[in-house]
Amino acid sequence: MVKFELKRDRVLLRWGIEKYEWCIEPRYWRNPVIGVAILLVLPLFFYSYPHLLTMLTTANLLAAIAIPLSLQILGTARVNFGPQFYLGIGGYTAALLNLHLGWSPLFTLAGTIIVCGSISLLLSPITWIARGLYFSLITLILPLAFLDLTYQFGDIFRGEVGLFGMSPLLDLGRVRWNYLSYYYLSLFLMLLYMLTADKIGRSRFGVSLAAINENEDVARMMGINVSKYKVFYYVLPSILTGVVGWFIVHTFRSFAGVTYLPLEFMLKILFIVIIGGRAFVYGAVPGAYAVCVLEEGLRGFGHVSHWIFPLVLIALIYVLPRGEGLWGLYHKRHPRDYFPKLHVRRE
Amino acid sequence: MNKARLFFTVVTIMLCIALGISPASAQKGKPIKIGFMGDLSAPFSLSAQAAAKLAVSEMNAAGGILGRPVELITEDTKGEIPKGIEIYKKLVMHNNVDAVVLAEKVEMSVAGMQIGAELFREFPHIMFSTLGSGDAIWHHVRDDYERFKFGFQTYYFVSSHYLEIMGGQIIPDFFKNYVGVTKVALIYEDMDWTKPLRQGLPGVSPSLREVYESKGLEVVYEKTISLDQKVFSTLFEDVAKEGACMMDCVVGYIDQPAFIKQWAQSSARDIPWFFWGGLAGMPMAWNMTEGMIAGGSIGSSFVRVAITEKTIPFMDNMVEKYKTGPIFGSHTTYDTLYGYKKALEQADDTKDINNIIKSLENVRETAVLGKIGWDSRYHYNIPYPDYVTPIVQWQDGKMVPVYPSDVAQGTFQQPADLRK
Repeated sequence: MVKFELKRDRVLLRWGIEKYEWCIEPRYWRNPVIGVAILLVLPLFFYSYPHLLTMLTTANLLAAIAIPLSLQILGTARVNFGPQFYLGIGGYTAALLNLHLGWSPLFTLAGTIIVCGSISLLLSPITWIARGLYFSLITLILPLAFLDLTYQFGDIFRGEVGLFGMSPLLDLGRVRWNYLSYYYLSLFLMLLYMLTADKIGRSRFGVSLAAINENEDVARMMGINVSKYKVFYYVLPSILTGVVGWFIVHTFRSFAGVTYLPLEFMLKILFIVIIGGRAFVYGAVPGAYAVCVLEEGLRGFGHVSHWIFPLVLIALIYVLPRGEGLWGLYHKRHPRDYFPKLHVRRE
Repeated sequence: MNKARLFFTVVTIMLCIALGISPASAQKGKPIKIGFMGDLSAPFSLSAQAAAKLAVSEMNAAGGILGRPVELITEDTKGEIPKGIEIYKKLVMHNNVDAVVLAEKVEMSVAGMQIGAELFREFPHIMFSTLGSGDAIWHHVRDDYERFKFGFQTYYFVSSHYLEIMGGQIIPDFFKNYVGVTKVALIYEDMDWTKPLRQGLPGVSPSLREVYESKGLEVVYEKTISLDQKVFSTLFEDVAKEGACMMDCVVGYIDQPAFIKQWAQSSARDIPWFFWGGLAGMPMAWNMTEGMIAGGSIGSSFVRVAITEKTIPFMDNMVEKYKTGPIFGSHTTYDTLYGYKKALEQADDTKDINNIIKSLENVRETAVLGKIGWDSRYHYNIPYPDYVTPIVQWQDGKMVPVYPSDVAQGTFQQPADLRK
């Protein structure tokens, strides 16, 4: 028997012993809806500027890497300095399966998820045995070691040239339509990740995550299986990052580890997380858009942009509220909007 | 103004700048537009950019192409493929350029071929890769001509020609007849461009070792080294122990100053080396190695030797007008633009892309390094002896051309003699 109840701020649905609830009070959904609506109509203004449409697509993809990274930082209480490792694993898996076995993008997606899941599961014990600087160093080495492998096994990974000629994700017959659809697909991917992170943040998992982040020993005393959670928060973001690699492979249609595995790419992701606000997974979106728009805008200044860009990023880190970034600015102006905040451990 | 408003104001301004039209858009008439893409934090791209500017300014001073001015739009890829793809789209779809010059590493050129093929049907254009080496670029044209016919590669050699021309003709001749050695140590860097040389190309050529042996050279030692390698002393000990008389180093990206300094203090110090490319072919290498480079030889286009009447004026103008040396990639960029100009003039057309492609496939034009032109089937530039990179040896702080004989200004000397 299904039963609806209308409360002051929410709708309840009861079905047997199950209960589902949706918030209807505007402070819960108004601004996120406006934000998503802006992202949905944004490409209409940039239809004649395909490069800016691609920039926005890249911003979505960078946010889609930063969201799982934020989740991982919070869930394992460790800073992963090599999130691009799984981007490389996912990208190369999709590219190799497509080129050598002729798998369609749908099947390469499944392959990417399986390979990234398996490798991250194998490596997940590092969240048990290493913490702090040691964990960061291990994760820092992984993508660099993988980059070396792409040269050593040049027959497979094609070294500095990379792999190319992979099937497109879709072909609508006209390039502008393709680029528009890539934007919306990347937006969908990013919002899906955001929704996943949001659901986790609001759920029992999120409470455990906050507890682990605050103090692992206390979390254990509360009855949380910390080891299990840490594996989960290592494996899930790794898979999500790998899927972004899959997306890049089937949209840009060339994939070279030398682009995505070096430190420069990792630094950009970490900047996005910090500028967006590492205490909130939502910060990844304004962080990614800010970094991409700044980079594109500064390109007009010519050579000087090469040193102005990092200086501006450093200045932003200094100026923005520590740990809360751009999202913190928004949150201070809209304190009644409900978004779960996960405190970052200071020690 | 609070921080949030300040941030969004800055972002809006940045977006306006990003939307801005390039400063070169106010030329008279309808110009022929050429887009230039490069990593403008890298010396090779900066030098290539200066060469492109030089070529375009000379063309405009001489009346443009077919009476139309030439407009150069330069863009910075920062060496990042996603950024490069953005810029390629901007140049072709927004700026409507007639040709894109990609003075970047090979992975960027490969990405350019992919994105260019997507755009070509709706936005016909020509793409020139003037810096990326290796076979991956022209293999696109070989494997699917109709899809990739817009792409042309200008670089000194491609791998099959490394095997057929460098390995099959130039180096055996240089080693045997100019250096006077037959026992060779082969040292490769572990990169994709050296793979065909290490393993051969099926149906085209056996490996470099086999090519050398068929030409009467004896390969006594063979080793592949990592790009990260910093310590080479063991390698030099092994080379000396095997009795090699020459080190043939198929490298371009290893830490060459470290290699050279350690060589000069090792037991292999009297065994001369030849580098296929890289920093050792640039003037600053002498100071960077504190003169220890003396006796080393390398293929270099940095020397003031008049290969054609264009060579010396090009080198002088680069330094005088743009304060930059003609690093690798600048000659090819400059020559490519002149090849493109001649092809348009021969076609007497700037609109029919198939006509322009046919014209590019048949064009020959006097260039800085000889003659520029492209293979009609595969679209790589016509190599040696049409396009020449002299072999130089470091002697008394200078790069002295020693090969081929028609551009040589000195003879090869043993390192031990040069150190006296």
